[in-house]
Parts: sequence; structure tokens; C-alpha cells
Amino acid sequence: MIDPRGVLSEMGLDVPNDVEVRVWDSNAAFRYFVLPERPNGTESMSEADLAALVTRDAMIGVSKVATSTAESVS
Amino acid sequence: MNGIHDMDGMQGLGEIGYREDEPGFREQWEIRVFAMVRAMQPGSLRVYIESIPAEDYLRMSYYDRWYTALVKRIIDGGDVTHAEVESGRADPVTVKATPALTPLGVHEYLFRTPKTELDIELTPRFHVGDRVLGRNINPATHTRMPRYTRGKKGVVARDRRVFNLPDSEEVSAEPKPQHVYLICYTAKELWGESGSTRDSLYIDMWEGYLDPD
Repeated sequence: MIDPRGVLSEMGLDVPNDVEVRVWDSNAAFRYFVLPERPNGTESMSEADLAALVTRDAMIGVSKVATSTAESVS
Repeated sequence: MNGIHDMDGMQGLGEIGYREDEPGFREQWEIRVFAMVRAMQPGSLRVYIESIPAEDYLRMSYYDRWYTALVKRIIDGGDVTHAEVESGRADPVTVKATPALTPLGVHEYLFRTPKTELDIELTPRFHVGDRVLGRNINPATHTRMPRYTRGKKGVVARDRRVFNLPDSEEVSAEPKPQHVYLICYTAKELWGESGSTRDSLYIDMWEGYLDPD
């Protein structure tokens, strides 16, 4: 909460300084789900192909979706 | 309550211990506890979780806390007796729910989410764009207002409409419906020099937690 960039970095995602980080504290009745950012160069891919790229970490917002495993955050 | 559960902004708790292959449940018994809590619909266990002594709380795993809270809740609610929990056997004398819950019945409960928004029209005290100040309240009982928001200035980002105030102090026969607002705080306002100038935090606040700024 006090250091969201540090937490994400610990999980393998370094957020550039020019990207805004918004922390959402779900203390009340609302819960959220993550809509991963669509990677560049995937415009021609089918829904099934896109779904195959999505990882657990992308769905909990601690990793970006990579177009191939070689590009995935390690 | 300014309890051990209210950890937001605390430091020195060590690394997160990130694991790429983190299982949903670490032990078989955790699955049973999860299913029991969903099936019994005991209401919020927060009050019970927050009453766990700090030294125990820090030692316990996530589902240890759920189990401890559920047991206290169902004993307090008269569903089971302390002796039944100790023995692991139902006392034939006590009255039990009938018909007994079946595995199929549990499945039905697992994904049932009760609606918490209230169909009540109340005049909102605040509107989107208003500047608000977190009240410096320190109730000794349950509240959804974390310490880090008290005395802090933010802006109303959204009116969530009307919900019941879940704070224990306010628990009575009469519900306490209030508008809930999504409030935006800058990281600088919350954390001073440690906060990034670019970053912000959003949290839902009941109307009673806020004063006009």
C-alpha cells in the first residue's frame, strides 16, 4: 500500500516511472477484476489464441501479458 | 479497532514470498473450512477475525484465522456448543438444522453473493469532485475505516449509493444506511515524501467517516 511499485517489483513487474499506479483498497462491498493490457502485435489473433497468452499473474495484475514465453517476465 | 489486522502502510514484515506455482489452497483442511464458511453464510467474520489476539493473529495462516473465527461465530450464535467442537461429535440433545446440508447444497451456496446495496433513497452529503477530510475516529470495535485514511484529505470520485454501515458501534436493531463514496487520495497525501507524485489510492468510505474539507 505504501510501496506498490516495490511490491510489483518483488513479483517480477517493474513499472516505469511514467506509468501511473492506482492502488484499489477493497475494504467495502466492491471487488475488482483485472483486465490485462492487450500486447502489441496481437491484432490478428483469435480469441482462443489471446486466451492462451493470459497467465494467472496477468489476471491478478502482477504481470503483463507477453506475446511469447521468451518475452515473459522472469 | 486499531488492531493488528489494520496493517495497511506497515513496514518491516519481510518479503511477500512470491511463488509462481502458489496453490489456491495449501492444505486439504483449508478447502473444508472455505466450504463450511460459504455454506453456513455466517455473515462477515471480520469482527471475529479482528478479535484474535495479536500474537496469535501473526502466527496464524489465512485459513487458521477463518477457522478460529467461524468456530467462535457458531458457538456465539448457538449453532454448536463448545463441547461439540471439542469432541467433534454432535450432542444428540441439541437441536440441529434439518434437513442436513448436502454436498450438492454446499455447491449451490459457493457462488451465491448476497446483494448488499440497499434500495433506499437518501440525500447524499457529498458529490463527485467534493474535497473531503477523513475523521479522526478510533473506535475500539469493528470499523471499515483504516487508520491510514484518518485525518487525510481526498476527493470524491464516485457515489456508490446506499449501504448499511457495518461498524460494530453502530450495530443495533435498526440498520444504519449511508451513502458510500469512492475516495481518491494522492500517494503524497497518504505517505508524504515516500509517495510517488504520480500515484494515487482509491478506497470506499461510508459517509460517517468523512467531513467536508
